[in-house]
Amino acid sequence: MTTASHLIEWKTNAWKDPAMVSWYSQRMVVNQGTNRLKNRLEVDACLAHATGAEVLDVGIGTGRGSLPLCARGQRVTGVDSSQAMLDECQRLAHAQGLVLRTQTSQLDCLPFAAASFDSLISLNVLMHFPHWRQILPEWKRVVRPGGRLIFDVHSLDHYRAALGRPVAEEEGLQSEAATYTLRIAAEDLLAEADRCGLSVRALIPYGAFLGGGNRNYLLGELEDKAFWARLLSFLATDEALFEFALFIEQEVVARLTTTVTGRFMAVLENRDDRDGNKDWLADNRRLEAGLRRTPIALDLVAGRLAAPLAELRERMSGYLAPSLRSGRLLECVAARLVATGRLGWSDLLTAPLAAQLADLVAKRADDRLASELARRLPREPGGVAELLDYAGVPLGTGFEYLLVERLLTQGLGRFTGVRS
Amino acid sequence: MSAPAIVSLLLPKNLRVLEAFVRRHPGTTVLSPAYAATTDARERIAAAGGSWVAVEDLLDSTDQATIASEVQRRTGGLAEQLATPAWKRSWSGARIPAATLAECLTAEATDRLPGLVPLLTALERAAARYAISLVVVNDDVTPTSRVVVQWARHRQLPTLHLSHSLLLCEPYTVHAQTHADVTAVFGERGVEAYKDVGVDPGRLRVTGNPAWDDYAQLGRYRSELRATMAALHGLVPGTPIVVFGTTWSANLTALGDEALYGKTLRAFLLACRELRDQGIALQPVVKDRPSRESSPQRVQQLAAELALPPDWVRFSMADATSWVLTADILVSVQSNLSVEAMLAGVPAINLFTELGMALGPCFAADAGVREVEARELAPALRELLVDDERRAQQLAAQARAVAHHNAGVDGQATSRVAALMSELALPDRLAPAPSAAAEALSGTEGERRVTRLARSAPFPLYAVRQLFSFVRSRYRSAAVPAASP
Repeated sequence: MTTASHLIEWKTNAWKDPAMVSWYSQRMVVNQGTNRLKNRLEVDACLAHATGAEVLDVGIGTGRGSLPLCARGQRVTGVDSSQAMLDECQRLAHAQGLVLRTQTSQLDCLPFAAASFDSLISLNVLMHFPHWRQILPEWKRVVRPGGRLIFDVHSLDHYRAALGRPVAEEEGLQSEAATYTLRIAAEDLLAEADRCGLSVRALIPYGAFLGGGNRNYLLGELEDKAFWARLLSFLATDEALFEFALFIEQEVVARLTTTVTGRFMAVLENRDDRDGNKDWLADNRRLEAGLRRTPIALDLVAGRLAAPLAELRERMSGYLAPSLRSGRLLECVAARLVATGRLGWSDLLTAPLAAQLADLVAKRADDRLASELARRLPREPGGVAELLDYAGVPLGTGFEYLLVERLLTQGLGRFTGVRS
Repeated sequence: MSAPAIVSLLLPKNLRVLEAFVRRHPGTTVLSPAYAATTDARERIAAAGGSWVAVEDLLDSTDQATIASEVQRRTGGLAEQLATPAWKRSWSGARIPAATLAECLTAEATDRLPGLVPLLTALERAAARYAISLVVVNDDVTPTSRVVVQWARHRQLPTLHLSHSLLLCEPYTVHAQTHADVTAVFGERGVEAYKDVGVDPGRLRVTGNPAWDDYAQLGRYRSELRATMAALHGLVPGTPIVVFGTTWSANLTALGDEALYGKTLRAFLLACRELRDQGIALQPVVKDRPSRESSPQRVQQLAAELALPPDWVRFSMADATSWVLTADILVSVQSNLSVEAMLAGVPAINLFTELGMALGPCFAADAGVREVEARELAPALRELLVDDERRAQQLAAQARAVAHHNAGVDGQATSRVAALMSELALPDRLAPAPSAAAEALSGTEGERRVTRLARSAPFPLYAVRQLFSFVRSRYRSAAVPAASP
C-alpha cells in the first residue's frame, strides 16, 4: 500500500529517467500490438475536440497528442515534469518540421496566467495521480471560458460492473506505486465538474479490446487467452482488421456508457452548466439501464449511434468480408452477449453474415456435444463401463478420439466421410 | 531383481530420445508395441547400451486364446447391453438418436478392442517380468497411447507425454486435454496453447522438439542438399523453389472442412500460375503426405485444370526435412512446417483458412511467419521472391521468434527430454548411470560398452549421413553428390 503523497512523487519522477523516455518514445513510434489502435483513438479524440488556436498539453511526453494539432496549425505549448521527455518531444517535432513551446512544470501548478489557452489536452497523465480533484480546478483555471479540457482516465464504473460490487475510488491506493491506476466514476466526475464550473460535453468510452494493461473486464477470461493476444497483435499490421476495430470503437463503443470499457476520454467545457450536467447524467442512466436489459434495448442505444442501425449493420458486415481476422474478433467480443440472449447476430450483421456467425457458434456447440458424448458413452456405469474395464483400466478412454469423428459424422451430420 | 525397463510409445522420429535415455541408463530395456520394434530401433538401442522388446512377444499361446475370447465376450456383451431398453431409455433425450449412439460405440469397440486387449495383456506380462520405471508416449490423446497412460496410472507408474506437434491452433475436442502426468512441449508457444484450454502449467515442461534438433546444424549443408534434391527431382538449383506442404481434414471438429486438401492445394497452384503469368521464375513443389485424398495424379489433375504445363509442378511424398531446407519459400496450412522453416532460416507463409482462423490465429504478428488468406498468397510470394529487403526482414523476425516456438534451437531438446525422463522415472527402478555402471563392469564388458557408445557418432556427422542416406535410399537410380560434412 502506498500513500497519496508518495505516489504523486513517484509518478512525477518516474519519467525523468532518459532510458525510460527512450523506451516510451520507441514504443510510441513502433506502434506494436494494440498500441496503434490506442494511439489512434486518443489522438483522434484530441483532433476532434481540441478547438481554438492555443492548446496546452499537460504531460506532453513525446507529443503524440500534440504534434498532429501542430501539424494542422494549432499553437501548442507542452509541459512535463521530465526535461528528458521534453527534449525527446522537441526532437520528434523538429524531425517533422513542427514548432511548439515546451517547459517543465508540475501538472497541478501550471506556470501560466488564467485563461491562457483555448483547449487543454492531457493523455495518459491523470490516470497516474490520485489527487485529481485538486488538479481539475488548476486545469480549468488556464482555459478560457468556453474552452475545453480533454483527458483520458480509467473507468471505475467499468470496474464496478465487472466485479459486481461497489468499489471505492481509494481502493486503488492499496496497490504499489508502479501499478497504481486512478479509476474515476462518471457520477464523481460530474460532481466535480459541477463544483468547478465545468460542463460535460462527452465521456467517450474506448479500449474495448486493447488487451495488456488495458483489460476489458467484461470480456472475462478471454483477456487471459494467448490466442486473443495473438489476434490483437495483428492490429499493428492487418489494415482491414485495424479499420474494423476502429469502426467498432468509434461508431459503436464510443457512443455507449463508461461501464462498457476500461477507459474513457473526458471532454469538458469551461462553462458552468449544472442543469446540462444533470440532463447528461439522466440520459446516461437511461442508456445504462437499456444496456443492462436482456435483450439489450436497441431502441435506446440506436438514439446514441452515429447512423441508423440498418446502416451500421451494412457497414459492420462490409468490414468482415475482406478479413477472416475481423470475423474472429467480432465472434470473440460478441459471442457471450449472443449466448446469453442479450444480442442476436442479426442485430449486428446482415442476414448472410449473421447466418455464418450463427453456424460457427453451432459448430462449436456440436464440438462440445461430441466431446461430451465421446467421454460419457464408454464410461456409462451399469454395463458399458464394466464391459470396457480391463483389470482396472478403462479401455473406453481409448475410444474417445475416433468416437468424436464418428459422432460428428454419423450423429450430427457434419461430415460425409469423403475428403477431397 | 527384475531388469530395468521403460515403456515407449514414441514415434520413430523420436528414437534418438530413447537412445539418449539408454545412454544415461545403460542396461535399460525399451518395451514397445510390436509395430515400433523395427530392426533399426533394436540396433540403435543395442548400440546405446540397452535392448528392445516387443511386448507382444511376451504373450504365449494360452494368452492368445484368452485374448480372443475376451475380445469376443466384451464386444458381444456390449452389443447386448446397447440393445437393452434401459440403455436406450437412458439416452432417449440426447440430440443424437440412441440407435446412432449405439452404432458408433459398437463400431468403435469392434475396431479398438482387438488391439487394446492384447496390448494390455502384454503390458501386464511385461510388468511382471521387468521393473518398469516410466511410460513415455508421443500423443496421449490417440487410442493406444491414451489407454497405455491409463494403464500406467493404474499401475502407479509415472507418465510423460512428449508433444507430437506444436499446437498452433486452439486445441479442440479430443486435443483440449492432456492425460499423462507431465507433457513436454516444444516452446513457450506450446505452453500458451495448453494454458488457453485450462491445462495446469505445472504439468507442462518446455524442452524443445527432439525431432527438430538437426536443424541446429543442418543449415550449413543447405547448398549440398539443395543440389542433391534438385538433381533428384529435375529442378534447376538457381531458380527459386517454392514448396507447399499439403494438409487434410482430421474431421475431429465440426469446424473442419472435408475439402480442405483440394481447396488449399488449388489456392497454391493458382498463386503459382499468377506469378508465372507475371513472368516470375519459380519451381513449385507439392510436398504431400499419405492420405486418402492425396496422390500425384490428383496434383497433376488439378494442375491440368489450371492449364499449368505438364511436369511444371513437382510432387513428393517424403523427405519433409530435406524439402524445408531446399525451399526458397515454404507455404503450409496451419502447420508445424512453418516452425521448421523458421528453424531452417526459410521464409514461411501460413496459408490460413476459415478453420485456421476459427481456431487461431496460429502465429502472432511479430512471429515473422507471414499469414495470408488465399487471395493474398500470390502477392506474398511475389514479395518474398523479388524483394530482398522484405525477405531479409521476414527472416530476421522469424529468427527473433523461433525460440518462443521451439526451445530446441540449440539442438539440445533430445538431451533435455532424456533428462526429464530420468527425473520422472521411479528412481528405485532406474538402471544406474554410466559412471556407476562402469565401475561395476568387468574390463571386457566395459570396453565393449565404450565401443558401442563410440559407434553412435557425434552430431552433425551422424545427422547429415542419416539425412543423405535417407534421400539416397529413395532415389537409388539418381546420381547423388557426396556430402561434405
